[in-house]
Amino acid sequence: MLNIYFGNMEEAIYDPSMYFRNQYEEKWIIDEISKKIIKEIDNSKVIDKKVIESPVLGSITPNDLSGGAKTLILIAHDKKNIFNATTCGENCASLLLELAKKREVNINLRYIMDFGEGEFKIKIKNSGKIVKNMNELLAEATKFI
Amino acid sequence: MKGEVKINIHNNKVIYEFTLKRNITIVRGKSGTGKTTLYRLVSDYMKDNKGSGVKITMSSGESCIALSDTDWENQIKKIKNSVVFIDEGFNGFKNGKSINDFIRRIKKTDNYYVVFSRESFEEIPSSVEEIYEIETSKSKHTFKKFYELNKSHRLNVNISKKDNFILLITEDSKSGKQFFKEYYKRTDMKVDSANGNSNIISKINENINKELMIVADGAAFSPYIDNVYKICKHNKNVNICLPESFEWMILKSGILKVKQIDETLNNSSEIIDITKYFSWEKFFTYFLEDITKDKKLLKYEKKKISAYYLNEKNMKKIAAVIGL
Repeated sequence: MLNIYFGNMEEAIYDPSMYFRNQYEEKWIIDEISKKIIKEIDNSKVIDKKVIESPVLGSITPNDLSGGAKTLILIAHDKKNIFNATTCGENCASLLLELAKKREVNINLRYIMDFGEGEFKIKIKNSGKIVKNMNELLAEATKFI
Repeated sequence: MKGEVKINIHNNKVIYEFTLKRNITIVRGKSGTGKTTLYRLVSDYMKDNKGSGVKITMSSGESCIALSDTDWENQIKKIKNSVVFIDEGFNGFKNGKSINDFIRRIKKTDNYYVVFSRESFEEIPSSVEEIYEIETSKSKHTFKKFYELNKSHRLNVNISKKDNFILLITEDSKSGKQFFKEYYKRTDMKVDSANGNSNIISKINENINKELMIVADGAAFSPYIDNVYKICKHNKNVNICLPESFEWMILKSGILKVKQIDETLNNSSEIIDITKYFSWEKFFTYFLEDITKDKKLLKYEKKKISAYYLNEKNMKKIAAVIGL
């Protein structure tokens, strides 16, 4: 399940891009979930663990990925930390829900991400309430943010 | 800085072209659209202008600056008449204390600020009209409005041909509320005030099952627009109307025959001194009070609106500005 803490969260990694720059592992880049994230979010293709092909920028390194892609890769691979996923745009919502299908995923959000029209299961950590659609999420999350 | 600033930033792979109109511009939107790349280009340019391989042209202003995380307090002190870019993850936005410190330091500066952030900051009231996303066509990146308002200043979501709301909630607890109460006096329409922008969400949530129209100052509504937009998107009975401010509606309505009004409204960006008026709604209040101060019947006061603005003919003209 996806667990979200809305608003300022002291223990969350506030700047995931900086954390990624110093902590990512090359093997992460070439696994299937990272390839999918990089394809869906940055419209780019993983060539090898050090090189990614961007349609706009040409050959780039993992550090040049978007903030959203880097944060999702961290969420997928670094299970001990909670990341500020405000760096993830709303095009990251479906991938966050997908990552949370397999395990408990904890994130911090400082804006209300739109998870779309469908049903989902998200726990608002501020109150402990589980919400199942965007109307329920908005009613609960706007209390905190 | 004053007025519109056209900016072109490019290297041999990407071009960014956009125009800034006010002191605060917010850029948000999907991941992977090139916000960080734009910040990096400005940052590279600062290191070694020509030698960076980045070219920047501006229609006015001294320079483009990428605000650093480590020494931003000292950096801000030295920056004048420039465009300052602030990336996601900026240290100054980490918590309430640092945001207050940031706002205190930038409030009387004459710079324009471009903030890349999805987070909304109550401490930084800016216009909903100046929130953008980056749109890309091949290698060219431009700014596209993130929240579209129509000609009646309604947020472009849930717009129906006919207004059928039963409750109008105004952010304004003084003259704006008095006006709408009077305007709808002989109808079934209820008018309520949220007593400030920060209470609008809770007021909407209290009335979420009713047909609602929210009227708030667009010039300072940026901290709340994202949540309200999403509520509107997922609740078809909620609409929001965002004129610059209630005072701007009066100025725009044509009920005051004062020469400088048109010029001021048409060239607000050139005229408003950002070191005095951080957001435009404060200027419009000052301006309306100033041009009517010596006119007995027309004198405008925020706390109690005078009868001139509440006569039927004038009320219709003011309400027509937002299509009511």
